[in-house]
Amino acid sequence: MSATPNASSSPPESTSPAVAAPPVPVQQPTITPDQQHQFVLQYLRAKGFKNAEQALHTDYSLTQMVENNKPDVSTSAESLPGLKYIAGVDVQSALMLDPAARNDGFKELEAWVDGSLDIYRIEFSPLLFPVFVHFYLDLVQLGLKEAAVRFYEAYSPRLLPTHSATLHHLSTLLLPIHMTTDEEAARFRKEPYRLRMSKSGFALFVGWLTDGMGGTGGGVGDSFGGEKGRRGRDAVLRVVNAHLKIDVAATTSALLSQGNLEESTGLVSSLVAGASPATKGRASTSADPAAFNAAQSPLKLGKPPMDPALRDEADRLIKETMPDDGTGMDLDRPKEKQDGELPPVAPEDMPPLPPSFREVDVRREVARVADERKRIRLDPTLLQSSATADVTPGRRKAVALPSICMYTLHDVPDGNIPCATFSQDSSLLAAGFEQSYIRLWNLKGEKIRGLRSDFDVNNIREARDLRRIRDKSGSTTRKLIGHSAPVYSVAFDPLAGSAGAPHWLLSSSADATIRLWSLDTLANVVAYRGHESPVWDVQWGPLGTYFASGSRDKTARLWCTDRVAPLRVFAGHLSDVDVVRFHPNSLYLATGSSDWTARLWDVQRGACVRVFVGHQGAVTSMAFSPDGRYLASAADDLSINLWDLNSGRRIKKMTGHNAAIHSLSFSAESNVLVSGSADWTVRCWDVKSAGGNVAGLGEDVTDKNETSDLLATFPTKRTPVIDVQFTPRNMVLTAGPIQPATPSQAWPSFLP
Amino acid sequence: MNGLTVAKPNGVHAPKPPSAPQSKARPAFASGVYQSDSVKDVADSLGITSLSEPIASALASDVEYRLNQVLEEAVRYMKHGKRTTLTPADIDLALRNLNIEPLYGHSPTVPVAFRRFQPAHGEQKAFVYTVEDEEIDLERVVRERRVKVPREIGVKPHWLAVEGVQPLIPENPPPQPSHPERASSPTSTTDPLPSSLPLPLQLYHTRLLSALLSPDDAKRAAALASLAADAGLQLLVPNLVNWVGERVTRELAKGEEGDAEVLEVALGMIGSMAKNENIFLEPYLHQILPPLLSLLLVSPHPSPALRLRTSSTLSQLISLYSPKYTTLASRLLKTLLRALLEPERPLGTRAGAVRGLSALGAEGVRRGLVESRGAEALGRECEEAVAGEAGDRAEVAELVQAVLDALQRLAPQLGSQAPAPVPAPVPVPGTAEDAVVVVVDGSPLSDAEVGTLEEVLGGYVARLVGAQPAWARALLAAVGKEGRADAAEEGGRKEGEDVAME
Repeated sequence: MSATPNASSSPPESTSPAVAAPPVPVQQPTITPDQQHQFVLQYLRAKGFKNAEQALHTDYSLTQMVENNKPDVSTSAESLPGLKYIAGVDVQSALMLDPAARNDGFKELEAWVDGSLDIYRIEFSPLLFPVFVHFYLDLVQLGLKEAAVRFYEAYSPRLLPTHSATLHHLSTLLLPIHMTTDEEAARFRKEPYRLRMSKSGFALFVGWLTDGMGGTGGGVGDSFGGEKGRRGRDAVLRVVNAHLKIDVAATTSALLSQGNLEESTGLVSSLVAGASPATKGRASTSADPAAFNAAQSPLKLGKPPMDPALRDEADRLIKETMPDDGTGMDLDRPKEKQDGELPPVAPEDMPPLPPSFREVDVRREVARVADERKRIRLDPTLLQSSATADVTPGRRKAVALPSICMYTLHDVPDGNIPCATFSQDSSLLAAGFEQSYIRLWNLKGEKIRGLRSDFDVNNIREARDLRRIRDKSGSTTRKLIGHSAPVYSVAFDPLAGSAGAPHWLLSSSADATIRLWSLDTLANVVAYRGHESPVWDVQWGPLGTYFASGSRDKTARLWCTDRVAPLRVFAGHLSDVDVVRFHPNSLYLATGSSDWTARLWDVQRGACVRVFVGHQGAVTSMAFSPDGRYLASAADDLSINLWDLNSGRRIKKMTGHNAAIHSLSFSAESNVLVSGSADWTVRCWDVKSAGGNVAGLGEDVTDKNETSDLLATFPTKRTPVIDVQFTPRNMVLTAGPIQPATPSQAWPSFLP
Repeated sequence: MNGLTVAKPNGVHAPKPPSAPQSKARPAFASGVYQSDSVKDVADSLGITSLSEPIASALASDVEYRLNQVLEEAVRYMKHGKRTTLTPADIDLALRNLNIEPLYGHSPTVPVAFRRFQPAHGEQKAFVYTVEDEEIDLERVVRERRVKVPREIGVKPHWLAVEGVQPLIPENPPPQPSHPERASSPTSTTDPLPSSLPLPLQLYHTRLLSALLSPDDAKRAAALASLAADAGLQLLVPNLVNWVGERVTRELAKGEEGDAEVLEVALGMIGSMAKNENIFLEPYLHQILPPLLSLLLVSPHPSPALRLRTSSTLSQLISLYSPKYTTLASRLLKTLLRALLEPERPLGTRAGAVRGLSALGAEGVRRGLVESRGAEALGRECEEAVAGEAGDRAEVAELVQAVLDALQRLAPQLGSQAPAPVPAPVPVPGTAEDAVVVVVDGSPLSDAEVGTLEEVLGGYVARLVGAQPAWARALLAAVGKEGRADAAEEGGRKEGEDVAME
């Protein structure tokens, strides 16, 4: 529990200029003993005096609870119990404490929004949510529990479809003490809630606030103009002044699309403020994510540079081993001709890497060229122009959609696994289990053999000796045991690419460790400790050596395999870091968080360089496009967003899944995106098409939530798709555990 | 946030219905799940009796808040475990992460059963739920050793999609019925074609289907002929096969009201496709056979006469593909035998099964009618049907005809009493010779012969066959000849045959 000092006193933020405000009453005196306690607690915790801390904590929370709940004792719903706490505030403000005013105020606001013209309603309706939240928090803060609950019951149903997670969380706050410790409430209290309105819309709103007119048809406001109505509006006005920041846009209201609303509405300022020390000055002046992104320097998104010696060696080998197949393909790397727009990264920008290349690097580069040549070209535009499908003059065959191979896991206990992944050469499958172990499968049917434990290191001189100490027996599957809590992520090292089997495996777990496993000895080699809480995700850098992790402790960290302490800590997210992904050139790291945002970090500087705001739920999965321009992210709002990295803008939003999206992957040409979901489907998306909701004429629009860029949906029988992965040759591998036909009874039986 | 409020294993009050009459002390509006009564009960159990209502209610609110905190934490673990149900393990991890001592004694594998009882001091309708502790007899556990080893986790790959098309294999779910309102209307018959098909083929497809469904016989015949001879139709085969399957299922589902013409067309399409040398039909056999078998075996049938044609088409397919697809015949035989011998099947199904068996050739008939005693059973059923209702006459006649036709497969009937049926008996080497031998002997059957015949075919069928002694002898010879090799103990029958041979 973090020691948030007295979150209740509302900060007198700068407000929209046009509205005159009555003075904001200070509702609670600052509690200095409170802070003292917190400091002592922190000290004890830091020193590890657990028992003392516990005892003090127990004692303290008891006293404080009694203290804070005093108002409740003397409360009947209609009295004004908070009065004694706010001595010296004028009568009008005292009246503001009347819960009835808030009820009326919200009812009238609702009626006014509903009664407004259609073109304005879309920009007025976002007003309801923050006003509702602040009214509710006000009531809780005043100790009017019953009134707060009744207020919630009465008005939340309308807002629940869009804000269910936040509302549910806030509904659990019932006592004033909860407000002081709860972060979500503190954010609402401290930060301005940003809204956008057109000029005319704002004028109407101000008009309604001042005299209860404007925007409504007759007959809606019975109490308008009356004393009751005025008090209600005053309550709204107070929230608007204290907590809302309305950006008045010069544009016409029609331009405020749904997507715009998602990106610019809400508590967005804290997402950028203080995100990086380097830009603090600028960020504080413009607390808008779009402005923040615009203020950052442009990104270097090109391909990573290649060691010239390595390139020569690889070229030589390619010429030797692979005869020119007469298709006119250049012997050199074919990718070079494509990136005309993105200049490659200068070698000095790259993170430090091993100085000389090894054999495995050469083999990887050779395999990359081989893959490039044998790749099945995907081209979703073929779906539209069907007649020309088989007459495309191309040297390689192009198909519209990829082939998908599904690896179904049978007989999984409880029917679910937290994670699974394939090695790049498609030879190994690893899955992490909630029973704390990792299981490997060799998909080629070869035996997985480790080293015997009874050998003398002194006798090992050459490769032959190593072979001798291998286990004689083995099977195609193997357990790796070492973690002490559910394993949430596994990752194979990318060093060998598709040229050979990987040698290392990383795993992260709820026991707050990341473990490195050697696939030669099948043993745990290193446990990286540093995170304080469960590590949700771990991911190798594209060149091996480095890896990144994201944790419940709100940080992402960069590690190097040969050090046990992290090299960088990326702090800035307001909630768990659920996903981490490396940019293909390893200069940037993307993190997805439960604070509904994704961020892009400069790996070298450790600074946040982009914020992607727009999701309406925790980010569950992400993927970079291989060409380095785009980031796709999936979230709990069941949508997939495609972001342009350089501008930080959302390109489009893709919807169609009906349950959590577990995994995303781009094809090698970055034109097809594949997603795997808990709704038992794999879906293919067209990256390049415009998307959007297009319902054809005469089509049934009622249950059509699929955007037009959904290319295909492939249902499985009963398998939630945990992992989807494009192979370098554009085939898709997917994995998931099949669910038992009759789900085990989730709810315990009640005996009579 | 500590163990004080959360770790309360003693019992939890279920939220009372709001209409509970004794809620006078509490406010009318019951908020939350955790009630102040629960707090009072807990306080009672700790020896605190004088807990005022406001304090209890405040405590209840706080407990609820803390519970929600734990739950929100636990939900994170659930989400990252890629689950949709919360487990005790999630709560454990959440408590651990919140630095609270976990609750012991709950495990995700042991389902928790709650017992409900009324507290002695409590109000009338209040119940307390507790976890039941099962008493375990350790000795018995040791003695019985019933350790159930869970099955090893396995991985099995399959194609979820091949170049964007989901193959119809058992691992994949059956395709979604495309728009039910479209399927039911007879006018719009075109199934969605994959748009990757070349345009000419798409056109051909629509024309072909419209011609096939037109009432004009000449058009239909032309369409079938085109399907039987034209080249380059391979790409359409999956669609056509699908179409046939769907149509047959739909028409047969209607029972006797089904459109016999559509079925006829479907049958014709299969025949034509099989005839077409440019169409490679083998991969689609598993899709073609089910509708064919349905055509044979379904009863009531829209047009029983169609069984005969189905049988000939089936025999055509078998003769084409059984050399390459060696298990084909045995698989069919299994299905047909089941239809023939399982009790409680309608006579129409039996007749279809017999027709199917005769499509399989002499071997099929021998296995079905003779070795499995099919003929005997059928004879009994026919007798019962005749004795029972008169409405079954047509079916009985059909069945009898089917049986006789099938027996022709064993030994061709040489007399002219019964008109030769459509499935022209393929001359089986061996039987034909025998028939030639036996044809000379046209004298009435001896008693021994009749006995043998009844033993082989059952009374009813034996009587029918016995009307033509020459044929009967030929049949016995065919059966006996083939039976002699493996069943030497059937001496009596052999004797009778030997007599006949002489």
